[in-house]
Amino acid sequence: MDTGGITYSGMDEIVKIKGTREGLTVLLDESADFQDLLRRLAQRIADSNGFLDGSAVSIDVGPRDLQPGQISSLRDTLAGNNMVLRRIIAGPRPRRALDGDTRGVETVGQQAAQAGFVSRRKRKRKRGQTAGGVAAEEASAAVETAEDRAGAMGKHDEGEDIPVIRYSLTTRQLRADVVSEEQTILVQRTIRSGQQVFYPGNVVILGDVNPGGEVVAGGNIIVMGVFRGVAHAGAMGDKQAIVAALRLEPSQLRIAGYITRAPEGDFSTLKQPEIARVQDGVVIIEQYQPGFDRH
Amino acid sequence: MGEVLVVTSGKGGVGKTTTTANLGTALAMMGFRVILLDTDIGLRNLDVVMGLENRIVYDLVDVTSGRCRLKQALIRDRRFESLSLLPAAQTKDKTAVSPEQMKTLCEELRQDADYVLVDCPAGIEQGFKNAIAGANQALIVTTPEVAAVRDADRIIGLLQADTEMRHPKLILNRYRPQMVKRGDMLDVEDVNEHLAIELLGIVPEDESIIISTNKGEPAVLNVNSRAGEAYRNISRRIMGEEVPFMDIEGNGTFMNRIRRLLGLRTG
Repeated sequence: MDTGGITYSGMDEIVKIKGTREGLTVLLDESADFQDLLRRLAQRIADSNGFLDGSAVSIDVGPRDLQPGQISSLRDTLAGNNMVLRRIIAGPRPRRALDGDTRGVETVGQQAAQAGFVSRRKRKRKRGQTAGGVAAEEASAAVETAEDRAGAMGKHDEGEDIPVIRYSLTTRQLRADVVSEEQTILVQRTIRSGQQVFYPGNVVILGDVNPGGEVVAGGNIIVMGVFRGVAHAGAMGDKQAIVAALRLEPSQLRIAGYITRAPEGDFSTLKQPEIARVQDGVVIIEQYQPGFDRH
Repeated sequence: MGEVLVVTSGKGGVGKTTTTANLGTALAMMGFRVILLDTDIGLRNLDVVMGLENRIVYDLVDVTSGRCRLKQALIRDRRFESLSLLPAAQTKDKTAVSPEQMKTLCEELRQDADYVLVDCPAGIEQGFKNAIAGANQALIVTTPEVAAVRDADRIIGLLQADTEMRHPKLILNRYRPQMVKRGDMLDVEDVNEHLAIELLGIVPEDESIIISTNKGEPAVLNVNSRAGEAYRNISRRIMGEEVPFMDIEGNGTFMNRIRRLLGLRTG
């Protein structure tokens, strides 16, 4: 990464909570000890001051072999705060390699029989598949038979009918990206020449972006300051993305595949907040009106 | 234990070497022990500007590679006992020393000096990395021109991201009040809005600088030089003294702008 760049990885947090289109997902660190994770999860719920109460969450446990009772432990930790465990998302079991395009939801416990039936059908399909390409892998969620699960977990836990979805490792990364499309990072400083902000979701900057600075976002870009650098909103193809700033004076502005630059000459700084968006195939810049409807 | 100040800019030709020479001399004039360090290996100029080029026997690379002791390489200025120069090498290039070696060297230099001024070469590559390695404070020199300010911004970003020097200070050099009045030159506020770091001083454009660098006699030695006066003021501010800004334009509004920049009440 460019020495002047920014990394966002929140490295020390082993329990991350993300908001998605479908609700809340709790991401558990892949290498952390399960007991540590349980404790940290309880702590984070406690720290949320009631914000999380009553919510239904998915828990992404990463590529783990889930031990007997671990799902119950997770569910119990949540239940203590009136939270509901909707489902578990997990990566491939460490010893298994995946291939092919397999998709499916498996269920443990009381619905095991049904799931087994479903899984068997899917396994047949799996045999007919060729080893998938990268794209297929990325799109896939691998299935395990209920028998496998039962085997790994020992006895079925009582009353446990939490669906468990598994997926390939690359999918987890992709899922993180999908998750982040709805997410926003907040940058609380000025971006100087030569520095970049790269994020798959939205970017909000409390500060300026100086000429030579770059902001590339999968979502929208909002700058509470003067924007004089290069902006690329909707970088993954979203034509609805916008770029807004207190003063929009970009050296270059891109939204999805559309590109535009500042008008020649003295664009008498209007000193008012402006917003750039794509309309009828061109990038237009207009005065920002709060509450405007862009759809 | 002295301070190690690196004088840097990004852009070439904005006055780093001139600033280093003048600030160093001004501080020595006030009695401080000053060591000037030229890190522009291959394109050394500080020795010329100080008028010491004929007395170079050993240089920076000789010291870092162990061919000589530091004392043998330091050239004492004849005008001021407490002022010395460690020149750069001319027949090598910037890969001849490493940042680690520079760090060690600066540690050694600051043991016997109140101020070590490091003249940084233009650019952001090895030369720059070498120069900042041993420093604990940065002085950014820029002229009021878009290209120079752009480069200074880059440098500030690098310093803030990669070093402990998060609060470099700004010296605005070659300022021409008449051009600013006509709107042909960036004014202090324009530069400040862009760079947003503390302003240490403004040095007016002054022909006497060219004469002084050619002769090897820093402008601070010349009481008639306005640039010299500005540098003398800056050196006092480095010491922590509060020095009012020179009335470069000769009108009140300028002073008020400066006051506002410094957070002082405007008269």
